[in-house]
Amino acid sequence: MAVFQRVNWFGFAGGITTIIVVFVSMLYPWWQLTVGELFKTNASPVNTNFGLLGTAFTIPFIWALNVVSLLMLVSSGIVMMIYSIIPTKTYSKNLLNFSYTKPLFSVVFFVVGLFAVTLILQAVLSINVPLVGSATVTLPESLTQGLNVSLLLSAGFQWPFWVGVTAAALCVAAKLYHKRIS
Amino acid sequence: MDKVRLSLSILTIVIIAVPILGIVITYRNNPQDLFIPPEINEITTNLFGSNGSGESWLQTPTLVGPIEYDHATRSATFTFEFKNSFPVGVTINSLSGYVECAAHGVPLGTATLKEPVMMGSGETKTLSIVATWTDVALSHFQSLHPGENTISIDFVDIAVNAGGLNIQSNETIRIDDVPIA
Repeated sequence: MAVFQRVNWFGFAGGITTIIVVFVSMLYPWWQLTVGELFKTNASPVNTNFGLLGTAFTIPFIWALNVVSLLMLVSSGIVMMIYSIIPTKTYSKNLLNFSYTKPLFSVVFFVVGLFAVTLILQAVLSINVPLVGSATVTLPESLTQGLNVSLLLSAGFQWPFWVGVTAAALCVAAKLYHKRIS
Repeated sequence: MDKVRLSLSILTIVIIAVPILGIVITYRNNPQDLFIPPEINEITTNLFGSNGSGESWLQTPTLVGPIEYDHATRSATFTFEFKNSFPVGVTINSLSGYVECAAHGVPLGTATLKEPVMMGSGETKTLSIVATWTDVALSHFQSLHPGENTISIDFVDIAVNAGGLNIQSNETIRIDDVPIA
């Protein structure tokens, strides 16, 4: 029983949740943007893809960042689980410091990245893309060959995003709890 | 344990560096494709230019069949044929515009799509557009087109709502031989 008392349960739950987040995020987006029936963006730290007029595609550089994020989260989850069952070893703090920040950074960078993209679109193309909710935007005529084209954009965070937030919170809790058991 | 910290640091560097360097090396000959994939150019070409089958995705509807005039409702019904060349299904929810006399520029009334039309990819359907003449139009016909059975009209300020897009065109579509009596 003493062994179980030494387990950092926040870390264990955080590690498992992080692994779950990776698998879920491969299938379901954290954030989705749709433009009528014609355009859809599915974004998450591990899988971002676009669908325009029936053609699905990814942006290679974003794909590479997704792979980085995927490997980071998987390694973080595994290391966090290893740490959580041996939190009092001399090297455990190194394991914890490696693993607890990754889910948090994934959530923060994801939100900051989305926010930055919307600001860039606003500044460069004067297109106001909502992070959450719906908005009607008018495309610049330079993009539409003189036609006046307005679009209804709908965007929102999906449930996997909140699983990611939960994983990040559990990992931060593991860091705080570590002080009590070490 | 410095070995553990060192191992984790190396792991972090490898995880970051390998995918980034890998993709940069893969696209070293076409660096623009790293950020703008070829699919985007393909879609743009198909949308505004010519695709592999020799036709653009954006096509102008063609007027087909006779224009029917209903005296009771003072309305003319135009039948257009339109092919959905988009690779996805599209619903045309509404289509509206103003009708003007082509010879005098006098507003004659409004034109609207009779009912929404759902079109599968590659499907050709007919769109019924109904133009209703106003009292001003009837007076115009009597004063400036006496004895004429048909006139030429212009569709202007055409607005289309399709697939979640609202498109307002500045293009004028001229139609000849529109019955007015």
